[in-house]
Amino acid sequence: MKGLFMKDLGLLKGQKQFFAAVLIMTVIFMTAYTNFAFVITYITMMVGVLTLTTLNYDDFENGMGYLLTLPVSRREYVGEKYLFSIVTTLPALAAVSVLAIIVSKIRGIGFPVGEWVLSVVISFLLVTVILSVLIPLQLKFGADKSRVAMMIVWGVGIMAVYLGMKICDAFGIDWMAALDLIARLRPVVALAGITAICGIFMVISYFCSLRLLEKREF
Amino acid sequence: MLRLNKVKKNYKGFQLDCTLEVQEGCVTGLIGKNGAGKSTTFKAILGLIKTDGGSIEIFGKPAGEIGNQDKEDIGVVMSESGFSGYLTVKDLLPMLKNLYRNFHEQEFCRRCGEFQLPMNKKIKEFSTGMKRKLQVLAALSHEARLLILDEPTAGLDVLARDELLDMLRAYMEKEGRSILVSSHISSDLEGLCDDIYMIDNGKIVLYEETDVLLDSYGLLKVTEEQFKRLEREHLLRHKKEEFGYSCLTDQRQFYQENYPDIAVEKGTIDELIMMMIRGEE
Repeated sequence: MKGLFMKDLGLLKGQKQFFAAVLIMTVIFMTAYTNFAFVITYITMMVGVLTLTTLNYDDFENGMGYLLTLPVSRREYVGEKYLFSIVTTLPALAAVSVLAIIVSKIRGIGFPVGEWVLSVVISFLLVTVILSVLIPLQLKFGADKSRVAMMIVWGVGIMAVYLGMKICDAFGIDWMAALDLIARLRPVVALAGITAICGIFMVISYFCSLRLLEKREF
Repeated sequence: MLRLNKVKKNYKGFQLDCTLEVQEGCVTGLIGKNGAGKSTTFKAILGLIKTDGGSIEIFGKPAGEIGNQDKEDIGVVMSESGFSGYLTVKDLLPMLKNLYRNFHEQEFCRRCGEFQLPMNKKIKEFSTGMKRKLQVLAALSHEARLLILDEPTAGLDVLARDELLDMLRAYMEKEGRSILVSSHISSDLEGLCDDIYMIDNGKIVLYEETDVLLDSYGLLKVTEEQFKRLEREHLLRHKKEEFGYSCLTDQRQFYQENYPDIAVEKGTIDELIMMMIRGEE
């Protein structure tokens, strides 16, 4: 596992331009924007996508097949990707969140703690959902085909939400009330709930990825 | 060391059915034209494809039970893939150090220098030959007991090929080691392998010790009339030519002694392959 981490860190080392872009964007957003919630989500997403980049790079010119001939099991490979995504994304989320609250104080821009917590939680949830969907897709379809698969998944997701709302309307279920109920939850309860949901997403995604990689032929 | 018993893999329009063995202390070659099944065989051994039948044993264990510790004893070169092109050789060092307990970093770096592989250049910018050299050097860097090398000399110039073959010979000087190697350059195999399997259309069509192949096999060039009176018992293949027939035999001396009027050539491995594949039984 450590060898794989070293490989992924090596891949990230080659991403200097990407990190420079993230840094510049952070500086621009923090100094010129007032919408700190957006900044937190945007930067977290950018860093979250790095795991997918390493997957892409592993797959470059059928490299994943060769990688699996080294002392690396498929289970280890999948496990490392999820760990790597957590290890890279969570510190980035923590750093940008702390930075946002400090900068908002320095610049004297109102950024209430409630809104800050909500931004952190939403960013956490979004990045988890995106990675949970995209890691298995990429393992199954590879870099190119996974983009098409991703669009299909989003399309199906949006359709499902839309149909869900229509069905609720048809049966007289007030889904807005349900959303209100979630919004009224105590922050600790909401945070615990979101963390649990993210954890469940990741675990399900991990097992899907493992199954897909175990079936994949190179 | 390695044993494949009736290993089957079915693709649309292609079926692999392969039985072969690599013994300890031996270099075994696998030859065949493109698409004959060499890479499929290698992938089956390495667990990169699921087989549809048969069994594979590595170090006396079923291939499915091979763990990371066993994989440390295997060095691999693959013809169609390699290290991620987005890494540099320098990036590989901490990775290999953590994957292999016996990784000889200094030796690996020294050899990379000898083969003029830049440490800080992304591998995707390497030529095919450089990528191949890198894989071979990595395979040789961690005290593997078994090397599985699919076209290790492809894309290399003559000098680099010679150096590399010398390295493989030096690798075999230590006891308890084996190599399974494929190459489309038959001279590589003639000078390196103890025995050779020939694969065609997914099936092993010939197995022989290299010495026997070179000493006993031969090509007969005969007219139609000579062909008619020729003893067929020792002919493996024959092929119609403009002048009459070319025939492949595994008893060259027999024909040299009994048919002094016909042309009997020693034949290169390339010619033997051509006859085995294109000739009729």
